[in-house]
Amino acid sequence: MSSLTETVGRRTFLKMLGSAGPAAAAAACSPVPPERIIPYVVPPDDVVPGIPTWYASVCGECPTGCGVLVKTREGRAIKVEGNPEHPVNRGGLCVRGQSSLQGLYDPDRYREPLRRREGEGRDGLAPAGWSDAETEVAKRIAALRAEGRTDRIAVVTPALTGTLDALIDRWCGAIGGARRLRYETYAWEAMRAAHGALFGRAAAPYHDFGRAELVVSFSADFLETWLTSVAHTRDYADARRPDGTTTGARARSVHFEPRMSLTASNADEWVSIEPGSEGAIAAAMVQVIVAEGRAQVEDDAGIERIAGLVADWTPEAAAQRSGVPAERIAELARAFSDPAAGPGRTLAAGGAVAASGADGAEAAAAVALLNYVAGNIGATVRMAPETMWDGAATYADMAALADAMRAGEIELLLLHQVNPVHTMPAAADFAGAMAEVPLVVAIASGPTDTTARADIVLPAHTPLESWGDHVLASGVEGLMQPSMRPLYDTRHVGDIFLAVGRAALAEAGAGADADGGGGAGAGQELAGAEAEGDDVAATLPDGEFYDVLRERWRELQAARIEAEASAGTDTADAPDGADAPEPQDFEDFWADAIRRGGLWWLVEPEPVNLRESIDGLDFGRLADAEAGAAGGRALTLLPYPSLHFYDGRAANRPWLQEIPDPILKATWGSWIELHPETAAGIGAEENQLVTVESDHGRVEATVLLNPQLHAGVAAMPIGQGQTAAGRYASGRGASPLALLDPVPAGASGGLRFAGTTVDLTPRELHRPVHRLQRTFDQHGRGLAQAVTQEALDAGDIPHEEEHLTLNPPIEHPDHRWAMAIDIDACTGCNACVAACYAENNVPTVGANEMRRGRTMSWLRIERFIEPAADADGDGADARFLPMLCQHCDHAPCETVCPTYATYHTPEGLNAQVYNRCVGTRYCANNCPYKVRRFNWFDAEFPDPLPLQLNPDVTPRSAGVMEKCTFCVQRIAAGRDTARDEDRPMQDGDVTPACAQTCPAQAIVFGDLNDPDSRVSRLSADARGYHALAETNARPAVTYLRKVLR
Amino acid sequence: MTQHTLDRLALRVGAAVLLAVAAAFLTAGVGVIPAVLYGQQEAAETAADTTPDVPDALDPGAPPAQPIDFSHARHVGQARIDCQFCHAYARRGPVAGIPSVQRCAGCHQAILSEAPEILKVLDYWENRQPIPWVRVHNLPDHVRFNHKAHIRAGFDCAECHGDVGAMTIARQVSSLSMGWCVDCHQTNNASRDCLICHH
Repeated sequence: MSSLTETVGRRTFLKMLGSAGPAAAAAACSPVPPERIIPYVVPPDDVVPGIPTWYASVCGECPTGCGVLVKTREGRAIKVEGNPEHPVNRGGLCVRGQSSLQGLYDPDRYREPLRRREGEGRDGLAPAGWSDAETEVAKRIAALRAEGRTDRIAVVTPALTGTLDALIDRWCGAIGGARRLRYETYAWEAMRAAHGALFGRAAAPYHDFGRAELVVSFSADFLETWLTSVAHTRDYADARRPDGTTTGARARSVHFEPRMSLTASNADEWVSIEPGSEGAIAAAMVQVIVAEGRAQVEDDAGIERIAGLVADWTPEAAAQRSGVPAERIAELARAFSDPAAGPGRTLAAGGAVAASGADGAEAAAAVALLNYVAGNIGATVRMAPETMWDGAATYADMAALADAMRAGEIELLLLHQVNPVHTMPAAADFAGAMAEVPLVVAIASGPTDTTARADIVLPAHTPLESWGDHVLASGVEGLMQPSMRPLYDTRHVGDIFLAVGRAALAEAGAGADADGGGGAGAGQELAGAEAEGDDVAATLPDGEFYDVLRERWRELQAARIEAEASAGTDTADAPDGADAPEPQDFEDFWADAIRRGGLWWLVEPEPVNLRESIDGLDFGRLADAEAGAAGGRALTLLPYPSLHFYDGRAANRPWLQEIPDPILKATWGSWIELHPETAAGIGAEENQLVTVESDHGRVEATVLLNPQLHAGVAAMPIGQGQTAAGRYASGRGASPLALLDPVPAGASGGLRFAGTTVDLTPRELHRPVHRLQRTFDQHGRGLAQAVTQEALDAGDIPHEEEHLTLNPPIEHPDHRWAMAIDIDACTGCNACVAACYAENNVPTVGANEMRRGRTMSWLRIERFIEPAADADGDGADARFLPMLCQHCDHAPCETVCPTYATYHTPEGLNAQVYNRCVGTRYCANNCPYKVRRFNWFDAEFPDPLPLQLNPDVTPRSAGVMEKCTFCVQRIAAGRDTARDEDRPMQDGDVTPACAQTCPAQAIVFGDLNDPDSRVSRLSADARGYHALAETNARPAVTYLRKVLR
Repeated sequence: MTQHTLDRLALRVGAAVLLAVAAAFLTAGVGVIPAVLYGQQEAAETAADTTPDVPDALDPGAPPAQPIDFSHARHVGQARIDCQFCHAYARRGPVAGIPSVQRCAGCHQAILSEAPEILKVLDYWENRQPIPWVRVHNLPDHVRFNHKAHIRAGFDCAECHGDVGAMTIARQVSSLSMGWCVDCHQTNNASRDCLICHH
């Protein structure tokens, strides 16, 4: 051996090591088949192999419908990003939007039509051909038509908009008048009912957080799932930039909620309240404003009526109900409507799930009145003439449908992409009602608890494979185009309806001919349907859904031309009297709209007035603690919408299961949150299983402790606890919806999410839910730092000490890539984490490996809680810190690598060369930031998930280390573009996936060598600091301190 | 090969196998095969012996058998067709691309349309089937190579691919080993940062 060490150096050793492997492999194994290189038969026009093609479209993950750009490579979608031109999300995209790719490539997707044949196939559903399946449905429709019983057909869809919505309405009319419901789990019934009762406009308004200087939220999770959360996040962050760069408003915010939600964590003050007391506080604020003459709306009669409504709600009464000191409520009310500052400069948000109890409509009305008296309606709270929520069904409509089904009044039920078995309370027993319907047809792209009980499943395209349009509100018309050919034998839902409808009408026609003269009957029915429906044509349109879509956009173009022409004549002062420009050809208009991702124009908000008589609201209900907490059991249940899963529709996505929940940092499961004292009171501890029992149901759930939760409250996330929703979602914990009262709330018809009481019985069993972060205490390490607004204004900011170093200075001749992360803007929403998983082929490892701490995420968001400085402030200060490889100049990982697999590039990147790595893991042990990840196993991507992998990023195999690369593939692409254009790289050429998607624009990336780059400016900001600066690793990531307002 | 080099070869391969066994304990499996990167002639020769028709990245050896006896000599040497007429993506993206069947048929429906090998091509075209060519130049999956960047820098195709105009069937003439890449980068003062190719 000694002669070997003499002659063989380290590098030679490695060379030999490497060469022995394949030699041995070649001798031992049969020859590998030759690799084929397959050309196109006919090359597609828009594909250059290796170069991405982008398609503008609309996100289909929630009712908002943000604009997206879908990146495709060689004909498959590999990444989804926000469309910077879209007026709602403006380039940002949330964690669910990022995960839409895993909806497309869901390994459990329906791949062909299925028919129930007991004992066969999955859930008793066995493959059936399209024509057989469609014919069966069509025949059933025709039979019901012939018997004049088309009212026994019910169609349930989500709150669709635009062409598809109109088409399904028309379809219902054409087949003779089917029932139609637009069902959404969160349909904001309370908010809509409140606005209807007060203003005669049952709207879910647009809330402009960008113009508000004071935001008061009543349990409204406006940064999570409440209405257009991505837009709110952007506006909220913009209004709060401490340097006032965007709006200069420097908005403050106060959040009342029994639980410190993500939104509460981002408020300046989180006020923990008694559950269900949101309305009381809002009413008391209105009372103070009105009583003290601080109302800022010119409607004396209205103010008088309002004074009458809220007369009983003194701050003291609200204090009694909520536990918030009366003086605090009064002070906040005075700040909220300050005549000295003027009207329309504040914003109250309410009517969310957590405040939707029996008194939900009244609570939402109190919030609406608060906005009204402060002069915010029409300013920060705007109601468009039409919004997508206008036609949405209430929960009561769905409950009535279930009753009709049970009564045998429904003979054919068509369910499109809804999951009421999961999203309605177990006691409403939609599953049982489905069993009473002779034929249930589910049109869905993936399995759910509902489709598992259907008789026929017709597989639909996912939004990424579909044409369509989405009208969020007047003036926001998103256009959805397919980004790739359908993966499987699926069809567009519009085309399914058209095919079934046409077959049914043909069948009926044939039957009528056979009867001889029965056509008159059908004609009467059609006439009847026409008379019933407002302007629903009684026939089906020609062509495919695509043609119908184009027809609507043709009409839209005509309407826009007309509107612009009339707007032009209103302000007709054209100096030269020039003719209006030639109207654009439709094909050009269409191509422009597709390229842009839709069409949007400014719409004046609808002016609203307080109604003369306000009926249907009883503010007395707010007083009734019993109304808030029905049942009289020990704890009040607080179900909350999941940021990751919404209402459960996105649960079968490994990214969303594996990325830790933003608050508890728990993964792959569901739980019941208890305050540590509450848990101690019932004798339960973390990870212990408890039986949760309400008057309406019983589930078992794992206890997780959350000190930032009101005592006496048991909080549970909505979205898990499904049984047949695919391999990732099924059997993960319990759903709080199983415990809720099935009777709708009186005034709004909404589901009573809040106010159910439960008893908890600990079981002698632990079922752990792994939390990625074990402590929320910084232990004095100063990882996530803060500065007060006063200190910031005074320029009195702690200065980071310069440490001496023995290391030689590092030269960066061309570029020095760096990042600045504003933790004041960061809301902790996890969008960046999901974007990183998608961009960099980061594998998920599953619940068992997570329990061993083997997460592979390159980017994580750490959450820290600082105890409140003053004793009376119950608001703890929550901070979010996106933690990724800091690309340190003096990186501790580099010096310990025995193979030089990690080293520093001349451009300041801490490189990780996978093919040099032998997996000693020294680097991970020496990393102070704990951002390096080791591949214990080869990653598993069940088909068709590998189609999502980014071809520009090498998938890593077992035994190598990996970590954030600052998206080096994007740096390479940016360099390539600059060289193509024969220019130096410039600011904005490179945007990593995390920075691109951030709805708050908290992450900025660029070149520190360029003194004018945004990252240079931010890195030199007074708020800037480096995490763990005492290690003197000289990171390239600069954090900007949170501002305590 | 002289006896001396053979002896050295035997010694090195033997030592390497021993060390590989030892290293397996250390590393529990090396992730992406470093062999190809640090590739040595001896390993490649062993591999080539057992799998004669597999073009190895390190073996500028015999051309592989192709589904059609396509001759670069005819197209480039005699007909003087520009490389990028067929490999149309080379200046536009990372991969040069294999001509589509449509492109082959486009000419050959008129030219030599009765020749036996051409009839095979036209058969693929009529059946709308791709021609399953065997890959000649194959880089490992952890190497990123961009044709566009090299053409933009003014390289001629022949500098890496050899004088294909003289080849009846295309074969690999350069080793495509990392040393070969780095040498050229060094000569031309191009970046030798690992991340340029490995990410």
